Amino acid sequence: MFKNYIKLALRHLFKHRLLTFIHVAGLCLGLSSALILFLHVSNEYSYDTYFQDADRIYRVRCDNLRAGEYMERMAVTNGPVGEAIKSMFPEVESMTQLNRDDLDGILANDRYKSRMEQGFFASEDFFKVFSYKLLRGDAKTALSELNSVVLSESMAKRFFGNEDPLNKTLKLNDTYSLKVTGVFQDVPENTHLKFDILIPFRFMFKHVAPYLETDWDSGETNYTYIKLKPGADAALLEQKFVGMVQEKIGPYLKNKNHDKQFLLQPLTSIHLGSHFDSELEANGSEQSVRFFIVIAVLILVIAWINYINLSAAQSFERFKEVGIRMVSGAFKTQIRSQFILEALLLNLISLGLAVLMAYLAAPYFSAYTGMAIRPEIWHTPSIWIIFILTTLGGALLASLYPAFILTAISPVTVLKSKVQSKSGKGFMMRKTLLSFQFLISFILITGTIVVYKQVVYMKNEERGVDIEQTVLLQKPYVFDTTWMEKLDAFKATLNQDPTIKKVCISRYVPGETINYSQGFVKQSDSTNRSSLLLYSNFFDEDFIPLYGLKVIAGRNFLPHQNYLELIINRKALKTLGYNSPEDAINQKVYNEGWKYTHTIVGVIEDFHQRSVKEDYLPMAYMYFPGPELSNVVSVKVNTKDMHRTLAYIEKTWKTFYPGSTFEYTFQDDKYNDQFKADTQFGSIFLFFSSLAIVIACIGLFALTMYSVLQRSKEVAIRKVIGASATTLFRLLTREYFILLGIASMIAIPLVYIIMKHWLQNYANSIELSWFLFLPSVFILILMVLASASFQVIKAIRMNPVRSLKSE
Amino acid sequence: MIDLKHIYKWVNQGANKVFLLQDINLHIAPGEFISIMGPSGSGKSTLLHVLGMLDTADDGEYLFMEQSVRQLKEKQRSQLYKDHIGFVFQAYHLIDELTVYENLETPLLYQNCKAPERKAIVSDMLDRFNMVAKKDLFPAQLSGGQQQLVGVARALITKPKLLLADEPTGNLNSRQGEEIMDLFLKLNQEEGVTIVQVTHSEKNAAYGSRIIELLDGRIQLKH
Repeated sequence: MFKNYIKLALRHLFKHRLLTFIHVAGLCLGLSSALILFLHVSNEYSYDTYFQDADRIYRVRCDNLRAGEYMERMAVTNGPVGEAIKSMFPEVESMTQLNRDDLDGILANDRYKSRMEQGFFASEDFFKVFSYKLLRGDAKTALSELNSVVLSESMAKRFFGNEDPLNKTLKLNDTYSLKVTGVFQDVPENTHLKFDILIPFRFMFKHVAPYLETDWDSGETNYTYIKLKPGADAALLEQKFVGMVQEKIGPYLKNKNHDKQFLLQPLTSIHLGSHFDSELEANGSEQSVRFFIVIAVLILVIAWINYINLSAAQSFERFKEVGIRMVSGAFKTQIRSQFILEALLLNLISLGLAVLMAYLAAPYFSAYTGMAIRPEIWHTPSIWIIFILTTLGGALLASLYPAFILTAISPVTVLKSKVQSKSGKGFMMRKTLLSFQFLISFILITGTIVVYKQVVYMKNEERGVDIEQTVLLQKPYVFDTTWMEKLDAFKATLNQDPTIKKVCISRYVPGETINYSQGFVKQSDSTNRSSLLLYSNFFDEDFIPLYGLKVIAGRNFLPHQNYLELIINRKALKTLGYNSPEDAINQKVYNEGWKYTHTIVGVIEDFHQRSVKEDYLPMAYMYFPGPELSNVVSVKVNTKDMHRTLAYIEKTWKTFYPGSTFEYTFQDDKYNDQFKADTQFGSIFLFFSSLAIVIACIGLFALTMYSVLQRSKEVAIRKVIGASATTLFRLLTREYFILLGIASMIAIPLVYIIMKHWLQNYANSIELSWFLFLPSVFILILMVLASASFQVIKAIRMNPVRSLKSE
Repeated sequence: MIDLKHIYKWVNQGANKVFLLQDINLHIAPGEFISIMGPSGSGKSTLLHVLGMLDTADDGEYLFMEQSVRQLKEKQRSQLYKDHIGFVFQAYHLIDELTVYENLETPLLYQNCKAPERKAIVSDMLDRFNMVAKKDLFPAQLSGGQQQLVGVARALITKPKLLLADEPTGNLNSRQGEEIMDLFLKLNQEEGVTIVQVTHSEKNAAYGSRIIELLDGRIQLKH
């Protein structure tokens, strides 16, 4: 019986080749898109899950508050908090801390040199918390010796080739000799914590940053991870941290009206859920991932609706067969299982092709969209089980409906006469499903348009700052004590080149997140002594002209270091409560952090420090007071020969700071970097919406083919009695346009709500006006015309005698 | 074998009942060969479908082999039907995607017949109808007469006690028609299969042992 069903199904599929092709093409496109999205999504969710006891590992992070308001929300903590947590709370099984803030320089032997880009200082228990396998060395002691280093497998290979790296030495910055005490397997892609070199904490305390061992107040640069004992309650532990802060620095903080909170983040939620200052890498967005799941499901739904609609439309051709089978003694269930089997077969064929297609397309796809599809993910059985079960489940559901309408009628009606295909429930169902498809297409098209408009808007919106032709130089990695002393001379030397227009020094440049804030108190206002939070940037007198900022009252800094002068922006004007820019000039404000009184000398127009994604911040600008607040040198150039100018800058750098590596970026690249995620989201959205529409078109094409076939007699009769081609065309396509109209009516409010919600992520967003919906309507009309016309015109041009004769 | 008592069948057209069958009383004994005649729309086919349990009467009693059909559940009725009735249609109604051999095999599949047994029965039937050479052809490759032969063969493959034929020669030319009728006669006389056929043709009706004439859903004459 089973064999017979398969044989019959294959023959049937072969006989209706065009339809089979349409079915398979639609399903295959749908399934492979869903598969790619699914792989991407499961990769995003797989972050950090492979560690042993991943569910018991938490990251401790820290918030600093002032007067109950957040000043800083960080992924890092102070140094001593780690040891404190470990010793105070018995539910903590093990704890480790990492630091890279002060890890600069070059690790070398005579064979290879490596920058410390992915290196960390790590505390002794690192391998107790994170279950990395040590290929060489002992995990218990690898990080306990003072002058030692642990390398990743590939890093060890670079330094030592095929020799055994254990106990060999490497030089750090030509000064320290470090002994290799261990080699660990390479860190996978799907972790937020990527590293290839580990140097013990003891080394850091001794040679680099001794204060980290004791500083509870500032200096939050340590990444702190704890592993809880089985069954321990993380929320409860988090509450106990309040007491710990009280005990350690409570009075000190209270005195400053500050507060400090330590919080726990489950390790596995960091990649998608953590967006604080000093993250180890730009984390993913849970919202985008959810959007992708929805898109994948919608695409599958469109593909299966195609299947249902086409099978239902085609079913009238098979009524005869069903009737004969019934007359031959088949039970309805037997006939149903035959159709379901046929559907499963078709879906399986499509699934096979879809997997192949996704496999071949994935690399190109990753390159185009930046989506991560790791090769290993193809070998993860759980993913395949879920995907195949989903597919078969969906296929089963999609096949039930055609199977039931086929067996719902009595065999007599089937065999006696032509089945009235135009009436009855099935027709209603098909209309509903078709409208639903229109609805989904509408939502996807409009969504794509809105996402794109927003990205374009963000990129092109008036920033109020000129970022063109600007080269940024980072402060030397290995701290050069002559940095500040030589700075003026360095600037002057750069300015000697005719293609260099201006040079300035600053703590932050446009595009960077400012996470430095301080409390200010107005001195003129004797009644209101409350402190107001302003974000701070530090720069010299050349910053404002270099970045083309507009001074609206007062003046720029003078060319000297006077950090008692203060420039604020328009937003800060409001925060401080001055009526006009002029009112603010010469007013005194007290800086609580530094305990200085500043005089406001100028007010500048607001500009977008980050993109329009974020609101203007109330800013206080000060002349940079020392080396730690002078991070970046901006060099504005005006040249057609960037190579030559860069060479000049590099040469100057090398003469002034011979021990430091020369590194530069372009300001506009840095600025546009912040749109990367949005642009990626937009292009993925565009790609899959287009695919969804193609799939819907395929379905509509086949559906028209059938409805035209079914109505060929009607068309012939109308033609004989004199209907024109136009009226016939209208007659045959009217239904689709009505459904399209209904679908649009439902879609507009829906899409409005969804996109409004999405746009709330941005401080500044485009308006959702009605003409954003017009292109969707237009595209859908085109889609109907394109897929229906061919069949309809064919039917109209056919000789009516042919279809009448066959009756 | 069959007893129909006061069988009525109607459809509702607006407020009116339109009767398709009215007060049909009929007894068919095993081994009879009955022809049902009458003009178009007189209810011939409806009566045949009721007899074949493809359709149910709205009123009256139908006993098939002493069993009341109306009281049976759908599944039991299917079972009864599977075991005892074969059907032949005017339009042959073969499954286009299946070969001659497979078309014949289909009813056996639904009887849960084992493969070797199935093969034996089908080969036997092909032999008997001289169609061995054509067993791998598809219906579209056969002439109308040949297709109807396959139709009859398929109806007989489960060895039914009752063969119901709805204008079996309607689409055939006279020579082909005669062949089919000769076959029916032979089946009836040599194998004792009870046959009920609906026909327009006096000549074909004459093959039967009894003729029933229908008009407007009532039995007019029994010969």
